[in-house]
Amino acid sequence: MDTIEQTVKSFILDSFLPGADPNQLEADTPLITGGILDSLATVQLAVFLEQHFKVEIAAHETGTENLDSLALIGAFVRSKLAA
Amino acid sequence: MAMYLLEQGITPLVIEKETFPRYHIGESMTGEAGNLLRALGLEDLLVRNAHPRKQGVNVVARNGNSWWVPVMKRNDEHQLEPAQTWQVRRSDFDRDMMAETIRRGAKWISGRAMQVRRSGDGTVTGAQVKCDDGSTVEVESEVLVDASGQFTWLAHQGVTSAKNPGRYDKQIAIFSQVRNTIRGEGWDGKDRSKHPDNTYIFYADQYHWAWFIPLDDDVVSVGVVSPSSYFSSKGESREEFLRRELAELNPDMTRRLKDLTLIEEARAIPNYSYHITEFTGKGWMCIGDTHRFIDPIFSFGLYVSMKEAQFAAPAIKRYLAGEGRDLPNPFIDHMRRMEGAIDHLQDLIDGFWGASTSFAYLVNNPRTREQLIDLFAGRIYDVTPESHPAILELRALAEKARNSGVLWGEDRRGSGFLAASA
Repeated sequence: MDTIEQTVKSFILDSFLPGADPNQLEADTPLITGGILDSLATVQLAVFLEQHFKVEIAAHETGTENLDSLALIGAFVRSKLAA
Repeated sequence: MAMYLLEQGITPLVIEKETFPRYHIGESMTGEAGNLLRALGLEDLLVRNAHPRKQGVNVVARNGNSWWVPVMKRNDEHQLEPAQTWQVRRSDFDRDMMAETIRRGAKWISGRAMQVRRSGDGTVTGAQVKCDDGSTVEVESEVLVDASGQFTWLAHQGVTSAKNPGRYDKQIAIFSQVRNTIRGEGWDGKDRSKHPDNTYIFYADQYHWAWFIPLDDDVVSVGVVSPSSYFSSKGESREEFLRRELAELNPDMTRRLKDLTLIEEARAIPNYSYHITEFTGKGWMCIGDTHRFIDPIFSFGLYVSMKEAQFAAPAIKRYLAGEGRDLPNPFIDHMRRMEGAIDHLQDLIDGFWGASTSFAYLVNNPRTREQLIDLFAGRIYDVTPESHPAILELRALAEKARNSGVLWGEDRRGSGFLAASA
């Protein structure tokens, strides 16, 4: 798992899954559609991504197409950093 | 409207069909609505009558997640600082406003405007009025202002452009009042989100939500808004529907409503959303609900009516002084300005219904939170995407929702009209 994915994984585990087995959260584990992130958690995750990685995430980009797995999040943040 | 005209040195004649006090919906004010009343010198009246002091709005999802928007004002340095506004029982508030209007010098007729009068070139020149004593009078006017609210009198008279359905016209609002509720839990004088006079918005699903607006120390206005088809499918009376929905729609609301005895008749307003794009002309203009109403969710109705009146009064004064008399629409600049501002409200509401989670991201993101607080307060006039980039994010949210079929209808902002008229 890349650095971005690892950072996000740590944030999710610490914030929303305290005590969970880290191995259960894999790169393609569905976060929103799988019920790990509810609406409030999704908001908190998007704000974290914006502030931690110093990228600007528009509201319409905070849907499942970008945030539903660690792999999607990693690709999304990398695309933002490259822009 | 009359008070603003009086401030401009114009003595208006008010034609009022209502006898006050009478029930009216639209009880919650935005932050800027409170400021308008202060500027009119009405704060003492509101305080004396003990209207609830709204500190902000809590929006609560069915799963208990919530977000909070405080009432904040801009100080002289353009910094946000805490402020408060009011919730008003409209039967009392409107009675007091009418009395104050007359006290300040407005003339009035108790009666009903029946028929608009126009000259050969279409200029509105007055109205035929049936007075409450049974007589009929012809009232001549230099400017006739339609402030009839959702009755949209000038639209019914064929003076405005067509009254088209708004995006939320398939909705119905059913409302009443209750007592004995849980309010302000944990209010310690510091955390304003827990103040007992705040508004709550409880939502269940898209287009399906309820309001909770304190009207005094005991009584709370409650209403449920849903698609009309959902209401029809239940086969219930308005009261049955309202009482069941209040009990089921959102667990936090259920908990707060300990007694579902309705102390007012359960009233309904179906198909409340509409849009009239040409709402001023030679000798006439519409303000507030008389030309556009989007959705009641964020309580902009009363504020927009008052704010448009504030803008209209000097425009009318200039017209009476001769400005624009030779133009087909002397108030077109005013109309465009008002339409552009309400477009921002359309963006705000569309953004919320298009993607509530993404909307909550804008509200809670430090990058955009102040802009959202401004919009919620009603600081929407002469605002641009340059000064408030979050507006563009709201539009993008709505566009994405429309394209994916999540949001009803086509883009109903007024920008198309503005471009066509430019």
